[in-house]
Amino acid sequence: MVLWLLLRPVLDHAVAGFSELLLRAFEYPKVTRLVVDAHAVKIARTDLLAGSAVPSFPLTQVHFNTIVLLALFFALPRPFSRQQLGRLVMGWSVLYAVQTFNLVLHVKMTYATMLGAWSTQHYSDFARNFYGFWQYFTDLPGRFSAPFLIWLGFNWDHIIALVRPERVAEPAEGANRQRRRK
Amino acid sequence: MQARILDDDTVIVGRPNGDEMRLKQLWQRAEIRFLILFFLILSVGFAAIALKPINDAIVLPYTSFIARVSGSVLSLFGESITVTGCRLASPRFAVTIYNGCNGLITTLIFVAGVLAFPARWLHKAIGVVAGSLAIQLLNLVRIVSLYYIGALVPRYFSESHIFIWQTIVILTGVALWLLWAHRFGGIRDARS
Repeated sequence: MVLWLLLRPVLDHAVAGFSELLLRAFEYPKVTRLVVDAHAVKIARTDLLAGSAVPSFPLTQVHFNTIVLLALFFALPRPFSRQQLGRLVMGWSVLYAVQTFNLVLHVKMTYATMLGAWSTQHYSDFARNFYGFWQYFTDLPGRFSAPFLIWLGFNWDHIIALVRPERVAEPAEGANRQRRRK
Repeated sequence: MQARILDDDTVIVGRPNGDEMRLKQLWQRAEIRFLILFFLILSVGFAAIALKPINDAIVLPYTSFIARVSGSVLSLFGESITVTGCRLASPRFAVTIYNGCNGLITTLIFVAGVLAFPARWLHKAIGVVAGSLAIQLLNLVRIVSLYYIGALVPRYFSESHIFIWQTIVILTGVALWLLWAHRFGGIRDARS
């Protein structure tokens, strides 16, 4: 948690910056600007009238799950070995991509549903449901399960050794067959 | 060896093509199989509870039930709580329990983890029931503690709600899954 608190400003800018890059890559004209301010992101479109209300939401909830990923990785044996640090870097990169995707969906959901007549004019019912569902999905189950899945995916060997030590001493039938084939 | 039937009913007996082999090999990898099954179960479960009729018929009444149970626990501690739907209110503080705070999503993730992992169906059922009860119990502690944090130190409510308690809930879910997998999970057990 201390590491996350220290890295929080960097994560705020990294997630918002990459999200802005992705959003602008698929929009014409390129008007989306994501401004980080006090651990929150403001969706400041350059085509908004001066004095318009700017939607904003906290970034903490987008990347707090970094704490979970770090805790899970450091809970495994020899967390500072070269192999484990390599896996942590890869896992963290995947989580960063998931967090970015979540923020992109937040912005698209805001565009599609929260800007009144502008939203209904520019987004279809299907688009509103699509962005709504995936934003909700990445917000709740996605945000909660991503660290666990990434940790498990990158450390399957360690975790199987942890939960079923005898399986490591006595490999499964499928693994033997694969080895024989080689 | 494998038989393949072409469009003109010609039967070719031989090895499956490269793509089939790669997919089969991928599916044989336990971690890939787990991740695919987990994602499928979670997506289907979440899509089901996100549907409005199910939300109105099950999720909202369930959240109100959680609010009533939390209100009863707080009353035991001497708080004068009024429960209205999903809202807990007292002269000191008020909280509303939303969909993400009722423990259903955490339970769904845990259930997906148990169902996707190789184990006997009886053991999976034990894991689902016991794990869901444990998560709901933890969620009750979370709601009660958040009420007191909001009433006593309101400036820490947001941090406690977002990253402290959510982190604790996720890590507890993972710990419960590891305990279950250690006790009941196993590929050969499932086949025997």
